[in-house]
Amino acid sequence: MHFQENESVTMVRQMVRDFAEKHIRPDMMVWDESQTFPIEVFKGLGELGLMGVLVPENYGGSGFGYYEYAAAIEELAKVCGSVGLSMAAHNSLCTGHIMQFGNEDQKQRWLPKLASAEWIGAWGLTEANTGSDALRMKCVAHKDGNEWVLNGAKNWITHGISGDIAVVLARTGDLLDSHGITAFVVERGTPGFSGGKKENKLGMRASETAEMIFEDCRIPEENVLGNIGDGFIQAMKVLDGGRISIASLSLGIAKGAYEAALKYSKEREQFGKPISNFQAIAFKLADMATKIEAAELLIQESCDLKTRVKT
Amino acid sequence: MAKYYASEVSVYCANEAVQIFGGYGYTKDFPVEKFYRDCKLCTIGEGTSEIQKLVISRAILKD
Ligand SMILES: Cc1cc2nc3c(=O)[nH]c(=O)nc-3n(C[C@H](O)[C@H](O)[C@H](O)COP(=O)(O)OP(=O)(O)OC[C@H]3O[C@@H](n4cnc5c(N)ncnc54)[C@H](O)[C@@H]3O)c2cc1C
Ligand SMILES: Cc1cc2nc3c(=O)[nH]c(=O)nc-3n(C[C@H](O)[C@H](O)[C@H](O)COP(=O)(O)OP(=O)(O)OC[C@H]3O[C@@H](n4cnc5c(N)ncnc54)[C@H](O)[C@@H]3O)c2cc1C
Repeated sequence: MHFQENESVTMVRQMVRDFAEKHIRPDMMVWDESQTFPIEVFKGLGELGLMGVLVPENYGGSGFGYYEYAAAIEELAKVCGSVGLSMAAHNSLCTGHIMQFGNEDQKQRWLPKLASAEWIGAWGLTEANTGSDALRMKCVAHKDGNEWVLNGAKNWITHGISGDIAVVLARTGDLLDSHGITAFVVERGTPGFSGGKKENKLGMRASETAEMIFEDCRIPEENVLGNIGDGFIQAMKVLDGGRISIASLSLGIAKGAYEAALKYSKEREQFGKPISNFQAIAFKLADMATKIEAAELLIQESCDLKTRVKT
Repeated sequence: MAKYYASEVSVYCANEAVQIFGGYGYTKDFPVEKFYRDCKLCTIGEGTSEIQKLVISRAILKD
């Protein structure tokens, strides 16, 4: 990318690169093989302010914008996609939801813990039978006095077992009613809330993906985020921001793969010359570089939009 | 558009990178096999590529 990068973006990039070389690269294949979620890495990222990248400083965050956020995820993903994904889910989804839709008390209560990585965050929308079609969710919450009683399960949740806090979307109205879903904050240790099956995945194996189970789980009224019935609309907005993070995650992986291939193609010799001398290989590199550049421009544009129309 | 495009680019690049590495790309001694496995999440998580296209096409077709 040939735009002049903001100084703080360059600083974040360098900080993440150093951290990843020191604390991620040496052990990442071990975590990958054994599907270990390396919680200490996230505590370390917390110390660098990367677990509350977008959180304002008065709530214990770094107060950065989307450019810094995108750069941090990209640099993590160049080394290890799993760490990038977990960092993105913690920041964009769980923390992002509380930051955008929590009231002042809720923000004071939870954001500092999330931003420092004292607590790892999870965000539960998906269920076993409802992925793309999230409106059909079965997880329900009923009002009982000044508490809500949550029943059901969420699947495919990043940090479903290890998360200390979860934002959970549950039905409080009619099936398929986009105003029939509400967002609740559930803290680990709440009776009736437990972790379930952990998925055994193709990739992103160091990022924990698991089930969250709710059995007559009682949640106080003050843990409702925003208005009753606004949960689905909130979730769609949270995902809008989250998509910049998945785009950056993608860009990091693409660059990591491209850079490794570029280097290898100059070193590997066949038929008496480096394979990069063969047009078949050189054209592959040209296509990769072009697509990466285009993806990066789209992400830059999204960051720009997100920065200018900040809500 | 950024999410849809970038995620497809990551799958494209990881695939080509493994090809450039030849047999070595198919092993855990080089990082490209991990990129190849990890990248696939990007076209699925937080809205699959098909759902992104649904959102994009709705936006360009409205009015
Ligand atoms: C590693 C990982 C981490 C995740 N983390 C979280 C998390 O933290 N929180 C959370 O809530 N969820 C999480 N998810 C779930 C993720 O958001 C879903 O997997 C995703 O939304 C897709 O849903 P699905 O897997 O049920 O696929 P489905 O919705 O069953 O889709 C299957 C296929 O059908 C296609 N399809 C579906 N509907 C349509 C349509 N209308 N038109 C055309 N094609 C369609 C899809 O594009 C896809 O190709 C995670 C998933 C993974 C793999
Ligand atoms: C699972 C597995 C099992 C195998 N089993 C056997 C076996 O039983 N017996 C055996 O003998 N071998 C075996 N092999 C080796 C296999 O045949 C080689 O991996 C294959 O021939 C490619 O060689 P390479 O990996 O050294 O890649 P390279 O030759 O280094 O190629 C790297 C890249 O450069 C490209 N390239 C190379 N030369 C040119 C050129 N002139 N023009 C354009 N592009 C070029 C290639 O297409 C590739 O994309 C096995 C490999 C694997 C992965």
